Amino acid sequence: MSALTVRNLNSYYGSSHILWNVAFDVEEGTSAVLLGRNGAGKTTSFKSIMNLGPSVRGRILLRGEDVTGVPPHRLARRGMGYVPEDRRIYAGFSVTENLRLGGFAFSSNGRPMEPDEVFDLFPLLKPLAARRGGQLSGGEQQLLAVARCLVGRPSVMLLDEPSEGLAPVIARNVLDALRSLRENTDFTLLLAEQNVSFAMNLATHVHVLEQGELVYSGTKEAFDADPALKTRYLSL
Amino acid sequence: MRRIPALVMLVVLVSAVLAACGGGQGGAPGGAGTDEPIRIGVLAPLTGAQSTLGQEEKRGADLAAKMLNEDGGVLGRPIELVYRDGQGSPAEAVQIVRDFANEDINFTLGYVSSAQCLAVTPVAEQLGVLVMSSYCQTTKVTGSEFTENFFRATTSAEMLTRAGAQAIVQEDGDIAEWSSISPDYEYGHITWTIFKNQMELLVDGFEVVGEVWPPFQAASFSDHITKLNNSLSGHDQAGIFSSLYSGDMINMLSQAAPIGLVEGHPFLMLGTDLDAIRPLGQAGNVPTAWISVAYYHEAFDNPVNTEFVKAFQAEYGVVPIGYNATAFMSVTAYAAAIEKAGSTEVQAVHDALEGLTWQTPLGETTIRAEDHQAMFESLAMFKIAPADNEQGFEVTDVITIPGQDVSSPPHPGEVGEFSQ
Amino acid sequence: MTFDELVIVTVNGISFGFLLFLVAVGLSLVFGVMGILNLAHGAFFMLGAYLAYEFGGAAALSLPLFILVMIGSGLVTAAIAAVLEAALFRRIYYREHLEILVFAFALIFVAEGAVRLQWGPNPLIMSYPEGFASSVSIFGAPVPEWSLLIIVAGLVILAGLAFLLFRTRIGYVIRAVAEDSHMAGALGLNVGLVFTGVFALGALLAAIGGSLVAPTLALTPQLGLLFLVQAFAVVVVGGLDSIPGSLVAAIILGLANSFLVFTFSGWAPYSFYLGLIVVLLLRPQGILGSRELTKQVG
Ligand SMILES: Nc1ncnc2c1ncn2[C@@H]1O[C@H](COP(=O)(O)OP(=O)(O)OP(=O)(O)O)[C@@H](O)[C@H]1O
Ligand SMILES: [Mg+2]
Repeated sequence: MSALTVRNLNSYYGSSHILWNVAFDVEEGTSAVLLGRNGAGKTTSFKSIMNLGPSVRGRILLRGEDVTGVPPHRLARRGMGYVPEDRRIYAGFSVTENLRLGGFAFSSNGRPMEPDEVFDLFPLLKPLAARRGGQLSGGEQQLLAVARCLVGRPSVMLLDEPSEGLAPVIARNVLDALRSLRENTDFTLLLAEQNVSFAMNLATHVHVLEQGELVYSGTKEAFDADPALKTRYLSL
Repeated sequence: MRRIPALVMLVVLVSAVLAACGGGQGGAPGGAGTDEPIRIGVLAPLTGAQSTLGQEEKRGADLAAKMLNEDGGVLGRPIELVYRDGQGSPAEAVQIVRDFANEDINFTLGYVSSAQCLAVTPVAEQLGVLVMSSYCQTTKVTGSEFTENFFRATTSAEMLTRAGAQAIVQEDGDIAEWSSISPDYEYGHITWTIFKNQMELLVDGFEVVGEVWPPFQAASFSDHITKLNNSLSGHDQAGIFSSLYSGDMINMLSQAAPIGLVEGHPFLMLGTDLDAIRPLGQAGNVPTAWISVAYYHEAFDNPVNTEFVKAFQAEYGVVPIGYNATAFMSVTAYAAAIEKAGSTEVQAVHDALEGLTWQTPLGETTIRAEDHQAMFESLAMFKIAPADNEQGFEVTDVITIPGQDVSSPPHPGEVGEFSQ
Repeated sequence: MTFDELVIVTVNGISFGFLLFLVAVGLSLVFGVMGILNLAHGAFFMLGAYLAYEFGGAAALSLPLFILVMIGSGLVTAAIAAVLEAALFRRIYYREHLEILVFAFALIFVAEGAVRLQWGPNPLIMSYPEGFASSVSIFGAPVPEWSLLIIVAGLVILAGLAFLLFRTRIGYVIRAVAEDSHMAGALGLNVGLVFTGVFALGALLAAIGGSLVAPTLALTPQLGLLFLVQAFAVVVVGGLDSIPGSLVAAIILGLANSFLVFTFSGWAPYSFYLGLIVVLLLRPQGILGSRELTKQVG
């Protein structure tokens, strides 16, 4: 079944038309990656799905249910998790408090994750529990942002450029954490990246955005098999 | 574009909104046909901070027009009052006078602040419009800044202040030590100056023991109250003079009550009428005080007053106060002058107003030809005190002061001796 | 200045400062959470005072009854504010400050009209509650009991807000929305509801301020404008988004005003404007604030 379906998505910031008829599906349990250069429209896609700013035409379905126009907090409570590219850690809140905030996204089946469960998934965060969000490094903030999203047990996670702005070795740590997460937890991932090698470590499916249009959709294997794609749409 | 100097914004907005409140109902320009109404423009603060005063003015003026019209009008023509809402700013008053002139309304009355009167009189002269102040008290308009088209059918600040001083000395004895809490602008300063000059003449050893100047429409008077209270320590018998009025007087007295500022001191309130005393009575904060507003409905035993009080009560269900009487008198002054002139021609009415004698609730009244100031036979002063009745106060003493004792000879173009 | 005067100026200044704090704190709370400078606050202040009169009348009440009246007035005002927020204000949050300012300002005048229709133009006054109509002597200087009660009320409100914001789940949500309302929404917090609640809480605080000054001031339909410039100065000087900053600024400005009345009294009416100028030039984010008016959230 399709966990997330995007149909005919057109997005606007004021009068500028950013996304043009974008359409794709993310199957349940898979890890899709949305690739694209700077300014291709990855973040705009996520914000459109989350209803966080751009005005939108088109349809968005979450596990078959139409959620177009649903306010962000309801989307979150229906299982749509969002980790923004700028992470948006609450600087004045401790790591534990940041994590507990993620619990608001939780609706009914069972209970949100406790910080201790999260620390099992992200051992690096454990010693930082009492630290203020503003005092964390970029990599730590990225881990915390993902962890905070997990607290609400999302069915779909929109993860925007987790490698952005991180030194390669830190990005490596983040990647390791994400990989072990994919093995231990059960959610559908839609990852936005322009760092292809980082993305390919996680992806099962690939969608490529170019200037607001979706120009390629396929499996990871199909994408890997056609190196011309990378040079055409992604190389710098 | 996000950078907003917000306070500037606020100030601009306040002035814009206040100026916008100036607009009011218009009247079609009238011809000169014999049964056309005679239109008189009234500029009064019908809304805003001074609306109590403005609404009282309106009641008095409306009643005068109604009584005149029931009596067959003036020169057989009805009187029609054309109201404009004015909050007190001089620029606004000038604009309203221009509007009146454009609508062919040449007789105007009302005006709230001294600044308004001073601003409109030169313009009125250019436009050929007569200005009759029923409220602004400044002595300048009949003195140093006298202009031909200004008339005052009511008392001046000098009359009110001197009458108040004489009343309190006459009834409460020779009080030599005095202090003041009055508003920090023209009217407050001039009234205190006149008061001091009058007191010098009335009591030996007159001495000022303290004065404080709260700003107009202050939210908190507490510092001025304690400062005055400090200067009164050791002067238990000293008098307090205050020309704060309306909301300011209410606020000052409400805030002064807990420390008993005026308790035990002779207290003279200038220009504060019963409209402000009534709510204070509800809260039990009425002081013992002399009130100088020249009018008290029981003070005058003449047919015009009897009829005025009766008609006012019939119309509004309460007894009239000073603001009602002054507006009433301003309308009847125009009526009497137009009858006397036999025409509504501006110059003729102007000439008729000079030296006009007519009957008012304060008795026979004459407008001096030299400075256009009304002269009264007598002015009423009354004393209030807290009481255990429904109103929370009672009037304990009413006296009249002869008009000739409270006015200087005319001095158009010059500053009067009492204002220096 | 004598010692006596120094004492009384200090007490007066502090008590006036707390009064200003009570009037301004809601303004600061709403700005801190929602990023809008809600000048309609003046209207809620006025409404609070009038409702207190409506419920309590002119005659003196016992203190507990007065407090009950004050809470009643606060709750009704908050309910009205909540409706206004849901019906009107939420449509304009993402507009320019200027538009919001004009909008809120216009609302004050509408409120003036409504109050005039409901209660008439003539001034109304409440009595001081029983036992609070006189003064006590502090180092020989007479201080109105009501001024002391206002200081106590200010401290209680400060403590109450601190408890609410830092010790309760609601406060945790409010702080999260204040720090980043977009992310809060994406994390499942109902930002709209928090905005309505905070707006109503701001109005409740304004109404409590209005009720507390009702015995000291004539209630007129212009009451909404009376403290507006002072309250505005307090939040700007203190830092628009900082509640402790508002308290500090209110006390500094209150003291400055009192000292000026006793020393250079001609300058006293301008003390708030001077404070504004100094702060905007030297420290635009205010004494304890972190956000300038120019920087909008959202
Ligand atoms: N708030 C906004 N208002 C107007 N235009 C915007 C806004 N945000 C983004 N854009 C424009 O929309 C386009 C897509 O931007 P978007 O942020 O979605 O790209 P992206 O693929 O996420 O890029 P990056 O890899 O740099 O994060 C760009 O041209 C950008 O300039
Ligand atoms: Mg992006």
